Amino acid sequence: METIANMLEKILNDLQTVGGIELSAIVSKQGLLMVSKETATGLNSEAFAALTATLYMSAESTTLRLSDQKPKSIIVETADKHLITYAAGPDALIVVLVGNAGYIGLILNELKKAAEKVKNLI
Amino acid sequence: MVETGIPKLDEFLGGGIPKGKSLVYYSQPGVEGEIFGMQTVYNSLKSGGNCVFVVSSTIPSITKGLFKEFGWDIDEYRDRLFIVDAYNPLIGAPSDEKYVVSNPDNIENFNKVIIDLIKELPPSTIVFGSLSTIMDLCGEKETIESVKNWNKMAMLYNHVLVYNFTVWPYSQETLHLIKEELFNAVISIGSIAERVIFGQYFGILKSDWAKETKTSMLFRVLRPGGIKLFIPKILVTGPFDAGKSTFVHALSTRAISVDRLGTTIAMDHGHVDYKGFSADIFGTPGQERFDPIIKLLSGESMGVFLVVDSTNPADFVRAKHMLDITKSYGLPYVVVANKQDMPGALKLEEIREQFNLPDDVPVCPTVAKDKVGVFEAFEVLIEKITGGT
Repeated sequence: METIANMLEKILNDLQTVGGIELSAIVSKQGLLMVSKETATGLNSEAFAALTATLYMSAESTTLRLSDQKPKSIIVETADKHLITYAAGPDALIVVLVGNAGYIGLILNELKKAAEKVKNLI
Repeated sequence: MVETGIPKLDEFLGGGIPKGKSLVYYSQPGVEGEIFGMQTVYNSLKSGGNCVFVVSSTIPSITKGLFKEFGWDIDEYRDRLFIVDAYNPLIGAPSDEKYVVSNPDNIENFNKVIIDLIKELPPSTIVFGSLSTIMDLCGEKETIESVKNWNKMAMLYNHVLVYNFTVWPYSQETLHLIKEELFNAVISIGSIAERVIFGQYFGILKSDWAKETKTSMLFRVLRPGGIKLFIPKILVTGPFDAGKSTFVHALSTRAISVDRLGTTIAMDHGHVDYKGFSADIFGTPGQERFDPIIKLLSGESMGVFLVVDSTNPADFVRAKHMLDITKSYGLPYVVVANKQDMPGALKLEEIREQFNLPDDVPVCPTVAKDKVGVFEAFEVLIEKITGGT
């Protein structure tokens, strides 16, 4: 039997095939972890989900006040990684951590498709 | 009484399963239902009882490996655990176990082994790893007849019978018999995907010895650890400098804060493992300029800790206002009266009075920096959330 959780996991699996993605998760905007593809980052996924949601919420509060619009994505760039949070419908976020090897443009494009699928599921 | 070892379930069942009774874990496909039977096996061994485990869906050594995965050392209880191998003969492999069902696709073979064991052993807990597998192999009607017989025999010999059953598409008649008639108690296990809450739950469908409880409990399966009751989100809120972050850290086995200069600016996140519960707690900032974030952060909580500084009644108005902006009214909440060790701390009654709290809202005294009272407060809130006694 296919549960929603299984279907969401499948979306993450598809996403991972792009290459360069070190970690991915689907979380609720309220900070609850829905599904994740764990890797050895040392951070537990629940806390990761909560922090991601906080990041998005701060951005949302800011953009709503400035331009009355919600952010589509948030890209955080560090020395050798990118953290991309992508809004998937009104309740969920997809978040990926991309290493040096990843092509950001391609991944953003895939994220857009994945977000659409997630949106249709929940 | 034999305890099931599933947190909260024993309480709902009035202490456990009485001798001579039978219980079935009735689980939907796709849910981790087999673990329930295993946890009951381990728990009854741990508390000194004899246990029979009928393994019919995989070879016994894999099952033993599973026990290890959950951190349950069953080797220690070798002399009190009797494994019935009803799988190896099916694939033509030799078995190392003392009790073997030589033809697992023939119910008569099961009858012989099980009834011998029932007669031979002193009162024990007999757990069937998968009744549905037996049913698939031996036929629905035949299996049901045998189950009736086993239950009757178990009653005579004072054994406790526990079955794992997965609700595959069997005939309506079979499912009805299992749900309504065959067993003294039925525990239903299912999964929910309610918008963004993903989880598995269990609840009592029927029990002829305990009073009815309508509550369902969310759980998750930890390796190691087994079944833990799961509370996805508990909110910790309260005015500036009341000690919310300290409270989150005192309670958590691991916690993260997003703060600057000692004050939380985004959130605290902590994970609590306590007395069979696994909960994630979210702490909000306290200052008014973060209100928009608090509002967004607080959705989907199952309960709230309202932390207040007992020495600072001037902030109580703000505390009440925070309950309002977190939309927490209607959710179970407890008031955590922190900094009880400070000179001038108000007494609990005074705080209750100043807040004008309804009688059913508990006020818990704590000194979060010394971890005093925090777990007591946690227990009180959990009781409110789970609707226990």
